[in-house]
Amino acid sequence: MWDTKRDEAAPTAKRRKLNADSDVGAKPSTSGAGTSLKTLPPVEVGSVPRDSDISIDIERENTESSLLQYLAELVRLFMYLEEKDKFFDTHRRLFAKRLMSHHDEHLETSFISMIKEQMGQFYTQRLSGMLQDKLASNTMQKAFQKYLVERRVECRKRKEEVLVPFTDGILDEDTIPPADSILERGGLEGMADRLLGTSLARATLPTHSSADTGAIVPSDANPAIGFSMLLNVANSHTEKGRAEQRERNVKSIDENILKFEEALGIDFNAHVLNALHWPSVEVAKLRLPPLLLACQELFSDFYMRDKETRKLSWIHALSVVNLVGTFSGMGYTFVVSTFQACILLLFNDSDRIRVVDARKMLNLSLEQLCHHIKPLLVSRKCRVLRLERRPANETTETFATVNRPNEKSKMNSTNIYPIPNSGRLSFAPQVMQCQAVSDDSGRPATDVLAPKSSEANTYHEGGPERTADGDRAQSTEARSIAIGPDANQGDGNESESFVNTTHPAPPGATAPAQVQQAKEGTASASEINTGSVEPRGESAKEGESDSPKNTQTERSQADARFMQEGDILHINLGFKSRLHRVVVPASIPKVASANTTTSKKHVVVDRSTRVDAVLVKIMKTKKELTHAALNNLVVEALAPTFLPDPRLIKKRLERLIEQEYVERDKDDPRLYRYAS
Amino acid sequence: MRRNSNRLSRSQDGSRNHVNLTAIDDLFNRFKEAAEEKIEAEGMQALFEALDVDPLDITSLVFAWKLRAKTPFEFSRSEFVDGCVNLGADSLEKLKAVLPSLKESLNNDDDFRSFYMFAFDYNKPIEQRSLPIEVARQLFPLILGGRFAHIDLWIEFLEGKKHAISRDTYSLLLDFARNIDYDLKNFDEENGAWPVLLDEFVDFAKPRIAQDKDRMDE
Repeated sequence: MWDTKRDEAAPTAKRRKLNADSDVGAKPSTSGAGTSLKTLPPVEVGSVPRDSDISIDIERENTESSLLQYLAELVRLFMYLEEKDKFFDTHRRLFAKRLMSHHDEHLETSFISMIKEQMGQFYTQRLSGMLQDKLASNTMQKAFQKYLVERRVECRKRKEEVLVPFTDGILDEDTIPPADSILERGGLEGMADRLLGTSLARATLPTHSSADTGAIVPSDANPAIGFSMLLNVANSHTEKGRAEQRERNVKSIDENILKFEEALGIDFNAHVLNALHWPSVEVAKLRLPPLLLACQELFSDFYMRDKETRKLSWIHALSVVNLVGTFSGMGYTFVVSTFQACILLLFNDSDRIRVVDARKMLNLSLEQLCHHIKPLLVSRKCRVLRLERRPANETTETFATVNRPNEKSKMNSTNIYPIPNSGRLSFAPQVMQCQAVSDDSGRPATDVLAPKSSEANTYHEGGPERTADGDRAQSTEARSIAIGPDANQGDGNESESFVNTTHPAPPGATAPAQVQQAKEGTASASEINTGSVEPRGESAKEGESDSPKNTQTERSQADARFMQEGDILHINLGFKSRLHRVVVPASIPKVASANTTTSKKHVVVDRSTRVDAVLVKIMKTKKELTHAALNNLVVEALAPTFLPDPRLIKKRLERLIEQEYVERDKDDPRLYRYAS
Repeated sequence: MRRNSNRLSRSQDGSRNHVNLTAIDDLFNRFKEAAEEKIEAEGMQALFEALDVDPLDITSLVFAWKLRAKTPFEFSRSEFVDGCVNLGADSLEKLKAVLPSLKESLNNDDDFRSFYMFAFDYNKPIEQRSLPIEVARQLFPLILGGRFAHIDLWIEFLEGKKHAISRDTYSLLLDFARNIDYDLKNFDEENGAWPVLLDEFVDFAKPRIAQDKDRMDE
């Protein structure tokens, strides 16, 4: 009985002590405590934003030793936190982000071991699981590449059986078939051609960064060669004969092979994340275009071999796709999310799409569509699409005729399509939900433009999460080259001078419209809070072909209403960019806010389970305990993680009583007994 | 468990010999369903009317308690016959005469607890462990009226709740009603091991009670 008495006195004292400790830890900078802390922002108990501050700071620091020092501080502060589980849940998400973008294996390992040393296994199990997943993904990717090679060879064999190989390769020109022919053939078939063409191009490029693929694939077995043969077949025929032969051949080829043939041309990679370790992510039921779907299926096939029980769900939100699009004869690589890629790919089949149709084709809600499409419509540097409001009396035909003829003379076509391997395309759905989260990065890039796009890489090394930063870098870069330091001058002057120096001057009549549009652009950009708001440059460039009507469309677009079901989306034919590699920001904020709610729920559920476990464990060993003693033991057991609310303990205890694991003494309700 | 079923029949043992079993059977047949060996809702209503008892009054519940009925709004033949034998009544008149004394027996603390816990089992759905909140809201005024000083506050407090009342909470509410002072000052949340619902009730009621007291003082 003596220990009961001692315990009764203990809880308040203990709690006070912990509180005091956490106070010290909480305000290191305000109390000016120690020089080692001076660069660290103050950390409050359970404070989510502060945590991210720290990690951002940390990431900016580049030398490893100082990083380690920061981590040590972080771990030290962590020890003082009362609600470690809340903090930890947030941190785990940041850790996941770090792993997804770029990570330093050594650093992370030492971080994990530091926490393990101080806090025990509870926190590190998941972290090390995540790190291992990430490390294992390299091996897995290699295996996948190997698997792909097999599939490619198989695919080529099947093709060879059907097609007569031609050997006179015409590689110099026309790797992208002219627009007319694409339009003529249309759809998948056309895409196949383009893909094959580009994969060929990839094979001929020395710059593509697929070092690992290179290592595995013997040069003579390079899959691209198989495709190049096919391509040559196509090129050496006249339009008509080619179409005929193609039709004939295609019919005879095994459908299954055909289905994957295009997908095999895309550099596709997936990270498989174990759902046990990784924080959960909302999975959207996005309907992928057949091509991307085939890529996914390829990976699923690979991943599920011999392992029927595995379950993959793809996390599109974390995936990256590189798309190549040609505007005014210039090819651009767009680094977009899977959602955005799917949206853009819709425009290969038709020039104008109603919002409601796009929404249905992609199986997204209007809200989701708005969310993902916004950067493509509004962001200055990547306004690839335009939105046309559907006013009652304005016909779409007039609009089309205004723009089209000019454009057609300038360029072959506007087509956007994923391109196989060369620099950077990563088309990366991720699977998370059940057993795995995978992150596939196929990395097509441009044929002609690949070297340039790889140059651009230096700004955008980061993965999907870093797009905002990368974007800013890009805009700064663009400014210093094109505009110079006077970016803050009046919009009108600036855009005009810009246009005059760099581009052919627009027809005089459109100049006012440009100015207006530039201003307009500012408004809309600040509205979506892209951070990198530059009222200049691109909008003026885009402005070349814009009529005043268009400007009005733009203006209304800036309204909060933004987009309605009946509106029409079409490609912005006047799109231009200084950079060949255009990183489209994946609008993240919404996802982030959703994450915090789910993370709170996680913590609550997690805590309840932990209290249950501790309660049962204690009752099982002690058999009989007074309420106060039990309370103390539970608090003591959980203190390293968090201080449980006494009412939480009671609630869980009541549940156990209800489920007849524990019962109250008949005469003394304050005495609990374990019901074995 | 606190319920002591032996106690139920304690006082009636002596009268067992004097009852006419056939008469009780006839009585049962008069009210039972045609197809089944049970008195169900309709028959019960007729029975209580014949006894001059409001079916919504506590007396009907006490009667069911004495019969040790297991299912709400149902008396089986054995329950009815055994119950009537225990009560020493073989006719409607005798039953009518016995009923007031049954109510009085609730003044005994132990008997009341037994009755109180019976009310829980009798009113909760068989497949559930706890008492649905809507049922609880109707039941508490019926059985705790006059025994729990803050019954009105308690019912008001339950208005905002959605979760069913567990047996543990229900049982401890009686202790709460008996042992806690009117001003709730001797309620010890830390060491009292009271269910969370009662903790919350005290949070809810304390300011209200203090307010009332101030008003009284004025």
